Amino acid sequence: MADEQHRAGIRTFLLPLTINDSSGNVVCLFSQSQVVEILGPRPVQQIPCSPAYLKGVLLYQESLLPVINLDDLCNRNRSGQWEPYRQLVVIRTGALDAATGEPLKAVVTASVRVRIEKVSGRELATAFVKTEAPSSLRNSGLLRGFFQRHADSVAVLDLDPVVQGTFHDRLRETRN
Amino acid sequence: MKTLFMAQIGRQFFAVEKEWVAGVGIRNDDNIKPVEENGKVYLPLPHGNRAVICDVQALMSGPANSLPSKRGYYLIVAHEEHFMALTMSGKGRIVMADVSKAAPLPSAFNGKSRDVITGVLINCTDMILLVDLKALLAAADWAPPIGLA
Repeated sequence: MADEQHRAGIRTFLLPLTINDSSGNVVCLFSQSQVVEILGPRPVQQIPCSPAYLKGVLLYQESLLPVINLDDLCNRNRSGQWEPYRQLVVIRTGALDAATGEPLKAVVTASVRVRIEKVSGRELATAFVKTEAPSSLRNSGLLRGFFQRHADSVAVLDLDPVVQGTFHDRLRETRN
Repeated sequence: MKTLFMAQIGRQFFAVEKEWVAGVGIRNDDNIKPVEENGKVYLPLPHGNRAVICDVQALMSGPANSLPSKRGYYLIVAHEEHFMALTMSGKGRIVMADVSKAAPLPSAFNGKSRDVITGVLINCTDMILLVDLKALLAAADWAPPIGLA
């Protein structure tokens, strides 16, 4: 079974990012186990006095999920104004809800359609070449890995501190 | 069950405890001109009082996205001797709600946003944000000033 999956490949979700200090195509990679659902536009309830990267909350299956804009999260000097989005990607993070023990979910806004690609085990091992990330991503406190794959630069982000509300502490640690 | 005053601000619903509500005023009333002082805009009230005008919409999505100033009302709330006029889209209404059923904000929201919004009442697909007035008054102290309409 695992071998079959290995041959068939893993579905990946590539969300284009706008990174101020990078001129190339940068995408954020989510694996199929991270992505719960991709939704079309729907009302997001904005929350006063929240950081620019938190766009509000979305009611999803009777739970309130934070809505995150990755461009605002990775480019801390952006204006953080409300921008239209095309899709909302519901993701499962690695952080657990202290009350239920379930993985905490979040919603990521996508201003353009998310690309879905199958990546084979072989390609995972050979086509992803580790490379140096732009400084804004390096200093974001969220970067798990940064790779070059064909024409794309692929970022793997750790959103656990954002959904746990400990992101600012993490950012302070990264900068010290 | 608690008696709340529900205000629509933009496309969203906010609720404050009815005891905090001092009244409702019309925006752009020719007889009452807001006054700008030290970067803040105040609405004159009877008996020499005045309320600092707080644009909740701008607190959510930046000053560029303030509520249109031509129509609408002010929700005037009071805490101790401080008054605040919140810009709202309609006249608002009194509602009864079981606030113990309110859901907390996701843990991603902490600090000021969590202080200001103490919970979210979910009614089918609508959400009503419960506002802590004391925290909102404190938030208005650091919020960017809004210009005179």
